[in-house]
This record gives sequence, C-alpha cells and structure tokens, in this order.
Amino acid sequence: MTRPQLDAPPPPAPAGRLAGTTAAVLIGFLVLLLVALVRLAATGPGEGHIAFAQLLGLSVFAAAGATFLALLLGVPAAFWLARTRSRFRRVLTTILDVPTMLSPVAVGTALVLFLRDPPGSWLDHGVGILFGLAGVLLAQFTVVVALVVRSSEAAFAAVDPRLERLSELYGASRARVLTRVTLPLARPGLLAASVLAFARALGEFGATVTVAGTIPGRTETLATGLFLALESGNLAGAAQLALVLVGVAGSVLLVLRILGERRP
Amino acid sequence: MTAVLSARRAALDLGAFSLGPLDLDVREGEYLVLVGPSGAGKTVLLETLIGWFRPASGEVALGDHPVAAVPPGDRGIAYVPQDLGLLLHLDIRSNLTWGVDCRGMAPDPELFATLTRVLALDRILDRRRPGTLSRGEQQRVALGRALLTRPRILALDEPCAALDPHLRREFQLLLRRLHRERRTTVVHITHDREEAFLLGERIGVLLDGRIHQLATPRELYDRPRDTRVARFLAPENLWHGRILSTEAGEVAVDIEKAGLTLRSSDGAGTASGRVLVGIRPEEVMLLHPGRPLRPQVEHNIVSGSIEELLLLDGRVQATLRTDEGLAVVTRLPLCAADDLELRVGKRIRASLKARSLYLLPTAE
Repeated sequence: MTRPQLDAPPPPAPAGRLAGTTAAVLIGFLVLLLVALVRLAATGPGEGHIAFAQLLGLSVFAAAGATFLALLLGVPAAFWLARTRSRFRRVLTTILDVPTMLSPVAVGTALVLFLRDPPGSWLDHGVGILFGLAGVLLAQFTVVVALVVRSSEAAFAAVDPRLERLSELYGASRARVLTRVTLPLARPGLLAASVLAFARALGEFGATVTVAGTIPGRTETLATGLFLALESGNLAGAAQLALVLVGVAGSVLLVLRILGERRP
Repeated sequence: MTAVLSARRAALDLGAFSLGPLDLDVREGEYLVLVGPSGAGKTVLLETLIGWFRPASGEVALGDHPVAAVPPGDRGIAYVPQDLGLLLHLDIRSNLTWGVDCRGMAPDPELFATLTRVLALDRILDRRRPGTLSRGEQQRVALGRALLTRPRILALDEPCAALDPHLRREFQLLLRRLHRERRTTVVHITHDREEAFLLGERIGVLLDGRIHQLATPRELYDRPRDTRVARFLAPENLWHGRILSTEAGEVAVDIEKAGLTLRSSDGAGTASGRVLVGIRPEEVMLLHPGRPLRPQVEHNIVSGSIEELLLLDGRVQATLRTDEGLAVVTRLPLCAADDLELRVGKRIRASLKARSLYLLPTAE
C-alpha cells in the first residue's frame, strides 16, 4: 500500500543554517581525504611490487566466505531471536554484541588464545587456521557475525507474525510458511545484512592480522597489504590500495542503497 | 441447530483490556454479526474464537474439541483480518490462490471462475502487486482467497470499514448474497450498527469485552436487553421513568422529567421501580391532523412543536419538543414528512406507540 511522500518540514532557520554548515564541513573533510589519497596514488608506482589482482581476489574471496559463514549461522539464530519469548534473549544478544564493541585486535587475540588449547587447538590442527586462509575467514567471521545477526533479527522482526499465522490457518506447513512468507518478506533486510557484513569483512584488519598475519598470496588482503605497504614506506602503493578498498566498499554500499530502496 | 464454534465462560486478560467471561454459540450455517464500539474487544474475541488467543479461563471449542487442540490447518477456518493480510511480495493471482496453495493444492477451477466473476476480479487478476489495487479490490481479493479454500467457518474483521460509503453497501450486499447462496458459517465483527442489522441473522452486542445481548435483529430492535445495549443501538429517546402500575400486561410509567404518563406493553421483567423508557425514532408516529387514529397509535399521544428538522438522504429526522418539555426524535421518509408539511415551529401530535415502548430496569 503506497503512501504519498510528504515533504519533510524545513528545520527552523538558525538551526537549519548550523546543520547545513556541519553537513558541508563533514563532506568537505571526506572529500579532502579522498583527494589526498588520489594525489598520493598519482605520484606513480612506488618502490616495491604490489600484486593488486591477487590481493583483491583473496580479499573478495575471504570476505565472501566469511559473509557466507556468518549468514549460515547468523540468519537461523536471528530468526530464533526475533521470534523467541525466552528470558535469555537479552543476555544472548548482549553476548553477541561483544565482538562488535571490542577492538578487532582484542578479538584476534582472543581467537589466537582459543586456538592454542583444546577444543580450539583441535580445530587448528584439523583445518590449519593460524597463519592460514582459514584464519582470515575465521577472524572476519567473528567480527561480522554479530552484525549479521543484529540486522537479520530486525528484518525478521519486521515481518508481521500474523501473516505467518494466517498461512498456518490456511494449512501451510512450517517449512512453507518460512520459505514462502517469512523469508521473502525479510529478503531486503537479509540482503542488506549480507552486503553490510561483506563490506565490513573486506576492510577488516585487526583481527585478520592477529590471527593470520600477512603472508603474500596466502593471507595478505587489501587491508593488511595496505598496512604492509605503509610500513615499508611505499606511500603511493598504500594510497593505491586504499583507493581500491574505497572503490569496492563504495560500490557495495551503493548496492545496499538500491536494495534498501526496493521494497517488495 | 448445532454449534460449530462455541465459547464457554471464556475469559482473557490482556493487561489494559479484559475479555469475558462470555458464552457464545456459533450455529452451523448462520451469519453471526458481533457489533460493538471501538475498543469493545471485537478483534480479540474473534481471534480467540479462531484459536489465536488462548483464553485464561473457560474454553473455546470447535465442534467437540478445544480449538487449540486442532491443528490450525484442520480447523476449516478462513480469517480475513481487518488489515487483510495480503502478501505484498506476490502478484494478485498468487494472493488469490494463496489459501489453497498453503495446502499444496490447486484451486477448483469452477469455483475460481465463479468467484473471480462474482467478486469482479477478472480485470485485476494479472496485476502485479496488491499495493497497486484500491482498497475495495484488495478487500475482494482477500475475501476470494478465503472463499477459495471452501472454509467451514468464515471469520471477517470489519470487512467493509475501509471502503467508501457507496462501495460499502455494495460489498455488504455481496457478502449477504454469498452467504445466502453458500450457507457458509460466518462470524463477522463490525462497529457499524446498520451493517450488523443488514447482514446478521443473529447479532451479538459486545460492550467492554462482554456480550450483553445475542438476538435476532428484530428482537434487538424491539427489545434491547439492558440500558447499555439500548444506549449503543439507539441513543435517542431514552428517558428515566418510574413504574406506576401494571395491569394485564400493560405498564403505566411516569416520565419524571416531563410529568408525563405513558403506557407500554413491555411488561417483561420490570415489575416495579425505576426504569429507562425508550423508543426507536422510527417507531414514533407523527399524526396527520385530518385522519382518524388507528388502534395501535391511540395511546401515548403527545403534542408539541417541531424544534429541529434534519434532511438525511431520503429521510427526515425531526425533533419534537412536547408541551411537557420532552425532546422526542423521530425519523420518517421524506415523502411522509412532505405529506405532513413539516417545518420548524409547526405544531403536531405524535404517538409513542405502546407496543414499541420498551422498559429497562436501571441500577437504582
């Protein structure tokens, strides 16, 4: 049911001017940052070789993998959280939020410590996580999974449970209700959650570098490669990598916008 | 008559609002309307009957079983909620067949053809999204979806409320026709009294979470059971009175405010004491000066002058101020008003027919 859009009322004059100025300053600041990057990147290929394609490929692969894992575990959990009336709901959501609030390096440190002793060490011996590609995935997964759960939960909560009950009254099985009513209605929110998680995983640095290090061709991503380039004094290379990250993240956020505006 | 759906001392407490305890039998094949003002608990009652709310005490039974014990899909209930519950991500055809789809079945082609024709859905069937339909069209899609499942019980929550007035009457008549043809048991809730009288074979009056009266439209019109029902159904022409005497089924009652004595043939249950005296505006007969009185209007004759005239669509509502100072509201067809040459200030006599005057014991 479409509603006509109302024009937002303009803010009162002095506050409006102040707000406008703030917005302009903020945008100016971000543009200047971007300009600085572009100018630096344009100073030419710095000393030392950077394998852009390889970094980009590995980053996208790891971020996609971490996002996939986070969706696999996070979406069912979010569905349960959105529908449960359990008293533990608050406790559980608080625990889920902890990784989001901690510094990523702290998350990475916790992961390394977890992987040193059983049961974590079994996982490490089995899959080879520390300083491996699996470590990149695990680190990014740990950082983004709460993000996925939180936004998917909101998406499920927005689905009117009466529609589900109505379908049950018509004789639909639980599975049919889920696949034909709940998931389609939550779809835009779930897509937004995945896009957000992907973007966050792509730029993840602290946890990744702590768990997996930066081994070229194995665990080095755009974000960690950027840090390496900076450390080794290759400023132009670092700027170029940063621009690649900005480009990928920008297009991902653009997709998010489009998905957000397209309502079912 | 067997009850397909029944409530026994069912009560529900939702914090700010409590329902019941109430008893209700929905009979096989009937059109039952539950009418009440907003906030009376109509939707909660309906959703308790279909098993969405579990009563805190008492029980709701579907046939011989508690409704909650019957799996939702086996209840044979199709519910059209006030917000319709259309699926906005599906096209119109899929929405219409969603009810049967839920069972993994295809709609009966004959019924599908009949319903799309009767509900005038042919032209919108291939539209993409329910959001592009008018409210009336959405309402018909939701009703069609429910009827396609051949429900044993059809539960309707304010199905006509969101429609434009002219469409509303059309839709009410459609509901009436569909019921007369199919004899599907219908439980319909509404705040609209006229709609209740038009559609209900029996009408339950729901006030503050309780059913105050459950009766045929005619009983409800002639003899509201208590003062709350009377005030809800017809707030005009209610006066405080005191019973003077009862003789052979005829009660003489004194209207205190006006010092007027009226006779009523409603002797039921009011032996003595204070009462609320009421008469429907349609039952007040304005008397033509030149014509002899028929027997049913020869009592309770008051005279006064017309204080206010309202022209409703095709009808006139006149307020007569009697010489004793009582305001009597009457409604009559425009042609009858013309015949009487009604105008403000005109002196006229009226009969408050003894047969139509009802008496309700008051709390005192």
